[in-house]
Amino acid sequence: MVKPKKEVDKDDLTKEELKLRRSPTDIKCKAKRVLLVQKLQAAKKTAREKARKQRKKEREILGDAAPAKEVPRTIESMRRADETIVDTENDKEFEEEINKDEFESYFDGRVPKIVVTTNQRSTKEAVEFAQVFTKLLPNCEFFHRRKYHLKEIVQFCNNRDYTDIIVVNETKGIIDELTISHLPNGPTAVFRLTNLVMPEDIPGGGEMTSHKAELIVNNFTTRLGHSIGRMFASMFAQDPNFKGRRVCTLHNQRDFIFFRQHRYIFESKEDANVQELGPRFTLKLKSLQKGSFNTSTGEYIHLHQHNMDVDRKKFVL
Amino acid sequence: MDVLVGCSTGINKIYNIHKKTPTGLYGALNTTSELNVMTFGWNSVENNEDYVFYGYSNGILKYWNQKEKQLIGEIDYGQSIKAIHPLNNDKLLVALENGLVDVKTLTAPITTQLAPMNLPTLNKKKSPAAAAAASTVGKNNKSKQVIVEPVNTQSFSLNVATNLSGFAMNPSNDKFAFGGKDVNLTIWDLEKQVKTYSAKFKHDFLNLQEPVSINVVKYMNDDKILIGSDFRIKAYDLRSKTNRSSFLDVSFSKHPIQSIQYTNQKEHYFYASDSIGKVFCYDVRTSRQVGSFKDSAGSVKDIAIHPTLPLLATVGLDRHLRVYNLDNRKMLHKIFLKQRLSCVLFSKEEPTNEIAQEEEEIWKNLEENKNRINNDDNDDNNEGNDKKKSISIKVTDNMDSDDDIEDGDDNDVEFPMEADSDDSDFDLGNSDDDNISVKKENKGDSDDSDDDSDEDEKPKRKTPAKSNLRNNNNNNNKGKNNKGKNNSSTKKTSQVLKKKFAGLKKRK
Repeated sequence: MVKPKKEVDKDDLTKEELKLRRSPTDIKCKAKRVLLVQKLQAAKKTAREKARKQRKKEREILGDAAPAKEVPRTIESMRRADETIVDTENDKEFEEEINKDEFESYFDGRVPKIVVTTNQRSTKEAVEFAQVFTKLLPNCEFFHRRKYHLKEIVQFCNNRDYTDIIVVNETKGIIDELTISHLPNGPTAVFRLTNLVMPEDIPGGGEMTSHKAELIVNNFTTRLGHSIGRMFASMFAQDPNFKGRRVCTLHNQRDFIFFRQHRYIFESKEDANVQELGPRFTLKLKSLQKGSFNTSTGEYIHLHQHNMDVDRKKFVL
Repeated sequence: MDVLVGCSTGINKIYNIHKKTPTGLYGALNTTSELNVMTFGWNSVENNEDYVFYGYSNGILKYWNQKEKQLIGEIDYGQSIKAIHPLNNDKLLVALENGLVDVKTLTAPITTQLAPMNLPTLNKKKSPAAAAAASTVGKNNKSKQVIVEPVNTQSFSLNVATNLSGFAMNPSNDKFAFGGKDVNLTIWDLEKQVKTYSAKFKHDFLNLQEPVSINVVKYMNDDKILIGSDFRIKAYDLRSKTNRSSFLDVSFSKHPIQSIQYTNQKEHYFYASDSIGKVFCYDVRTSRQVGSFKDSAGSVKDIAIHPTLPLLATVGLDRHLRVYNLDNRKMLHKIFLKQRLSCVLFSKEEPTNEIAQEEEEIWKNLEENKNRINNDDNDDNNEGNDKKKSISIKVTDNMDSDDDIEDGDDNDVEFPMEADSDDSDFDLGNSDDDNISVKKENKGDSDDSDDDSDEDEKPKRKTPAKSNLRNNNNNNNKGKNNKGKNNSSTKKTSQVLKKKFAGLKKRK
């Protein structure tokens, strides 16, 4: 036996309120159900906005006596505690150790000398993207891959005192991987590359000049993140040209590294206008290897595995 | 208890697990040389865990007093050190990367203040082709070392291979085994200084020799040895002189083996790790993987097992020291030590306050194991019950088939009775009627199955004798009685024939 519904005095409710009291799941017709759900969501949104305005008014009236603002909860704020996050000011062991890693020679003043190449039998998309690096990085040369193996390329570059090798990997016309290997003693990082926008495709984009770019490396917190940040830092110029006003940004957020390049101009002491120059892409670390590139017998400092993605609030960089 | 951890950059740390604090830090950051080997001192000393040997990749060997925190001695070998083994009678064995095995005798190892001495470059030494050459090299060493240190005696060095990556001493400390790149497993006797065993190279299905690159060598006992190469783990039985191939050959992972560890607590298991951070437990009897120790994100460089407690410690390039329970493979401690780690050692010390807690844990584990065993027994019983049920089902099937056979027999038995009765009736009738009935019966029999016809033939053979006897009796009777009986019998026979014809029609 189905219990009869309680009778509601319908004269107290307006027509709209009477409609809103119904549950969407009671409606069989999908079109009407969808309309009702949209109305309910809009009503909730307006109620929330009213509450926000009300809180704002109360804060203005009460002044200092108002309660504190609520802090929004984000995935970054709910990050799992990680003991590898470095306290850069108080940790002397970290400071001493990181100043003697593989990138020590760069920070002692060695000028970077970089080789960019592609995978074997690459298409023109990979070649064009690889040639963009010659404009991004100082003292960077592009070579066609031809049929050489990476181990041979590493030997050639070591013989000619290059400091880094960048390999752009392409699959069916889509650039998907970026391999950066620091010479002569590594490490080697393999990144997955997504969301690539070439410089000519950026709306309102400008042209890259030949000035040496500045570098911003942002939000790398853990010990592994510091290694990755120093790897990127060791590829840019030690003495950027501030008159050229070029700046490259590597921003890490939720283990994704976002690359952007801008030209800036200061309107005032507090404000600056920026113009994006491109390219624009996103990197995600797949593996960090000790030594130069070696997939068969190399040792991994960090290897991304699928069970690391189970907890969406745990980050490694 | 303390865990000694050696970092790749040359710093050595001592971490107390129960206090959860580092208790010691020794060394200076030196990125040009890595720490390759770390071992405790001589077993003959009472507090051998207070003395530690460190072997570096630039060839320097350090002997360190952990308690008093002072350096006792330092020797420069010039080549990357791969193994350090303190032997009996105050001897020290050091294996270098270029294949040189050096044995020195130090009369007072604990208190000797070894000065930093630069030995002559080891590459200049000639490789001995025979024992005589070895003895000559030994003499040369003696003469040189007498000049430098008159205390040393009975020192020698062996040039056993071109390169050396894995090295191990057997538990009796009288033989050593090694392997390297393109150097298969080889065993030398330390006293006689001769080769006693060498493993065979394998060939693949194309009859080409498989490349050998041995990274780790580990003795299980004096008779069995484990090697970890780039992609496989093999075990050899050293007792058989004719069969020199491996009795265990498992593909661990697609990455090189970094370390293998074996303990007497679990007699049939060994533990291995590779360069992407996987640590596995294997059963030697079944060649199967028993379990894995998880949560490592980088290469695991070394594994250590406590001598008495079921604890396993791993260190690796992700800068963490992890301690696992050996029985259920759960991680107990995870400690970030800020450096890339390369070596780990467990001290035998057991804290007095927390022995009871650990024993309780062990008993709980034992109870869990018992519960598992009971569950297994229950499963076996269930399987037995299933078998019994299946057997009973078969028995019932057999019973059904027997019943069918009996029914068949009953049906067969009924037919000859009817045939006999019919024959007796016909005998009383006229001769012509009898002949007609016999013919009709023959026709009917042909329609019936062969079995019925065969059975009916027997009563036919018997009936003529009976009919003759009856005919004789009839002749003896008077004429009147004969006439009356004949009339009644004709009526009966006609009715019976009608029934038979009806039956035949129905059958047709």
